[in-house]
Amino acid sequence: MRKRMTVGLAGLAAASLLLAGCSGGAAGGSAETNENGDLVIDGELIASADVYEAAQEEGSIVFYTGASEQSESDVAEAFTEATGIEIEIVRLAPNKLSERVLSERAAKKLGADVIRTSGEDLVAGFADAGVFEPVELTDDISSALIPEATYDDGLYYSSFDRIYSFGYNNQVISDEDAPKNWSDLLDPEFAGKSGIVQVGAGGSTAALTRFQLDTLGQDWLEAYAANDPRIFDSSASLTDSLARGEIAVGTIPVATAYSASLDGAPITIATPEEGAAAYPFYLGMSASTDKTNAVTVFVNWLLSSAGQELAASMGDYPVHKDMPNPTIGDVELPSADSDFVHRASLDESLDNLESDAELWMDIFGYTG
Amino acid sequence: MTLEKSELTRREQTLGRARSGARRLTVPLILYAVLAVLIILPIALVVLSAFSTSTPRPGQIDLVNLTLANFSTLLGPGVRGAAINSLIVGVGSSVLALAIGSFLAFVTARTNAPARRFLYFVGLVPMFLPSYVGALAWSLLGGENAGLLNILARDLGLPAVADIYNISGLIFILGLYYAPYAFLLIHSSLSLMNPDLEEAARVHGSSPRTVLRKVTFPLSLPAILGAAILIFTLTVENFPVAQIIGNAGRVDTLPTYIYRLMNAAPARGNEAAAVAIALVVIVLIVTAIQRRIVSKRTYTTVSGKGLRLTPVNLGWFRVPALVIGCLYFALSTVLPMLALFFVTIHKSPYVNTVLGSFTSDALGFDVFIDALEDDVVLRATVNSVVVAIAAALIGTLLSFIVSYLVNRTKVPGRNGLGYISMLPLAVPSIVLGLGLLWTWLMIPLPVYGTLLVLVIAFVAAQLPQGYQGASSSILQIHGDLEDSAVMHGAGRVRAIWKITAPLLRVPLTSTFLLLLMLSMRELTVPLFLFTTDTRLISIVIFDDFENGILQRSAATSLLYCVVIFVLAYLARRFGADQRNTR
Repeated sequence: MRKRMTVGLAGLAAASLLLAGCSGGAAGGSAETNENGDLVIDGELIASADVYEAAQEEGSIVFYTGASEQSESDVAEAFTEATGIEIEIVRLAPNKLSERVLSERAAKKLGADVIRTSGEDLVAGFADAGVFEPVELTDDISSALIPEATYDDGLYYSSFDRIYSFGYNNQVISDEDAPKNWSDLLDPEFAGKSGIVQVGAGGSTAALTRFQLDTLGQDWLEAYAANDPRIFDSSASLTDSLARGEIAVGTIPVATAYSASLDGAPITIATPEEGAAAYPFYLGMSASTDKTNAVTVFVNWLLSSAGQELAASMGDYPVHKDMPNPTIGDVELPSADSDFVHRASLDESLDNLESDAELWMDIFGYTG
Repeated sequence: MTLEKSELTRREQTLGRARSGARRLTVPLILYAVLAVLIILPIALVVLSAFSTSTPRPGQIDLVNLTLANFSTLLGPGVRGAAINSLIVGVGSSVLALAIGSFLAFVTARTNAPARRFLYFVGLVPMFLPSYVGALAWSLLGGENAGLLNILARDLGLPAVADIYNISGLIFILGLYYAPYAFLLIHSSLSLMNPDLEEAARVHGSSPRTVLRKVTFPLSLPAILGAAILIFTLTVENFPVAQIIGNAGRVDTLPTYIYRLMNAAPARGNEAAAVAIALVVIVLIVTAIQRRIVSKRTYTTVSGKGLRLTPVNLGWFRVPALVIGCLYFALSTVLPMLALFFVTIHKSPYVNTVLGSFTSDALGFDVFIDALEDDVVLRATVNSVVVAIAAALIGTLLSFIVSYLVNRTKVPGRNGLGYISMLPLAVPSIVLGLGLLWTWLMIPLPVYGTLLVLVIAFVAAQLPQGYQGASSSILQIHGDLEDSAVMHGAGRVRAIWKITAPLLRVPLTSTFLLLLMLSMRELTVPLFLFTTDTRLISIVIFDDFENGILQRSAATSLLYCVVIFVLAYLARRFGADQRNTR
């Protein structure tokens, strides 16, 4: 009996191996090339014919990212659909991603072809360590970018601004009890049912803390801490706990929560009157990649109107000129220059990074 | 002439002696070098970076700026709290594991309880479940608001029944999954006990209860104490369960604290090293206390192998004993497996109702099939199996050589080799992992980022278990057998190969199996060492958990358990065949 079961399981494993072997993607995507063979989407040149062709031959690329797995798999799916180039996502919270990238780079074993992360200090650390190599953008793409999106003369780019707001589980909290603004989160009814991500997780949490201290005030943060929130290591695990109802309310990156809600997570995202924190996700090609062409197509596509519209549809603020305001479902977010969007400058972020983190840890009694 | 000749012979002899002396030293010297790189260097790097201002990375080791500042972390409230929690967790879960393990051991080894073979199986099985898979399953089962048990209770109109995210939950899970260690150690001590002693007490009129209290229990005390210390060290240094359960309940332990310091951006490796030293000190103190207690008396328990022990009549307690065993089985194995399975086949990652799922269209195998087809999971499974087999082979060989040298030869410095081999036992996995990372980043060999570094790490971390296994089997075989082969003209190596090794085949197979299982389950040691291409299945499960992709994590866990069971089954068959052919 037991033996038969084992054989059955071995058979199952073998069958799945076979299946996996057969499921290799066919070359070429749904996007059409022009008569020269160039990849042009929505009137923008994404890749010239020779780059596109070489990219097809290079095959799948490894994408290290600090953004949530759900939102990035939506992106990867859309890109693969368009170009036929497969993306393998390696998702880690930005702080862990940084340690991994630097260690692998130092040992000349960097597995990434392309990297996306938040955190001004982290991305600067990558640049210093020689992790990046410039990507060649097509004229269509580089002229469409807002000037602030280019860093270090094109060594890396900002790919969008993500918004850090809060949300609640709409099965645990009814609409009339739902928190609308940041001030509502301090209600004692949320004691022990709220969550927040530790300040050191990445650029996201640093930006959130800056916004909270600057706009809502230190008192607000202290009052939030007084509700004894559960502290998470990454926004991905907070979002999961919120969706499963482990916590009722929590601070969340909009796109992370929105892509989870598309997968059925019962999360409602708030657009509070006080505004929300915005923080860039930086994008660069790994200096150790041997798939330069495929990465070039990917980066150009991410920054093109096709990639940027997708970002906007998940609630991220595009870096492409003349894009619509981001939306989350039926809700349109205010424009990038409105009072809603609180975005610290690079210097402001770096200057306050350490002192904010110390204050945060002090307030939440969090050590480490 | 004769004088010259004898002079010549003498000179030859001296030369020969010197040469053989040098040869005698070659093997231990090579072994010292191997163990130095495997074990001493990683530990030394942890100690060094505890006193340094920069984290070791290639070209970044700093012997100039030595400081004590890192140790100021130890004085902070964070470390103090974490250390206290670690102690509570260690003591609590050891007591629980001992209670479960010794109960099951006693019932299966020495009583007339029904279904004893089944109960033996019950005591052993959780050994094959990695504790973090158990923790993952229990976090699905026992979450305060969204745990399956509480959702089920809500379906039935009952109040919430479980809350796992606190220090009691942590103790509960560790106790469940470390009970098999107590079970195995105490079971073997109880079943190998010399029945003459009990018989003597009985003949002199002692009641069965008095025999148990005055003879049986004191005789198994070393096994109980040994198990207690082993479980204490293992639970105090356990990282994954503390991370999965404790993190959500805001219960820090020293290992999770070290992990957090290492993952701070920028990494605070030096402070992590200082905390690591505190953790090692705790483990060393406890081990020293145990040695003092055990070394006060000599215990000879095993001498009457093969004699039948009189079973204790449980009377009315026979059935309750079986029920308690079944309860443990349900909590440690059945419920967790069911939870993983249920979450895997639930179409949406978010479960609102357990009972309702079976009537509506909420179940399907898509997630499980996706996980089975996932390239990352498949590659990680292959990596895990390859690394585990390689580490177990090399580990067994190295353990055998070291143990042979220590127990069978008189080469100088042999005892030192034994001590170094046992050293990793006192160094928590998370600390050793840290040291190994720094070692292999520093050594200018292209090893970091390959599977080889994981094999090396596993060999180092599991050398104590391998060495103990090999030593106990070598001591069982009398040296005369091998020596007589040498007397008849065989070289020493040939004698070992032809006499000792074949006799040791079965015990060495079990050492190999032990190392194989330990390597398959290991998560903490490779935690800092893996790279994207060298992820192990344990790492994939943990990463998915940390990324909030619980469903895939559960699906991969199920696959993982299947792989471990298959390996254990094949290994057992293989081991059994060895015995038959002997």
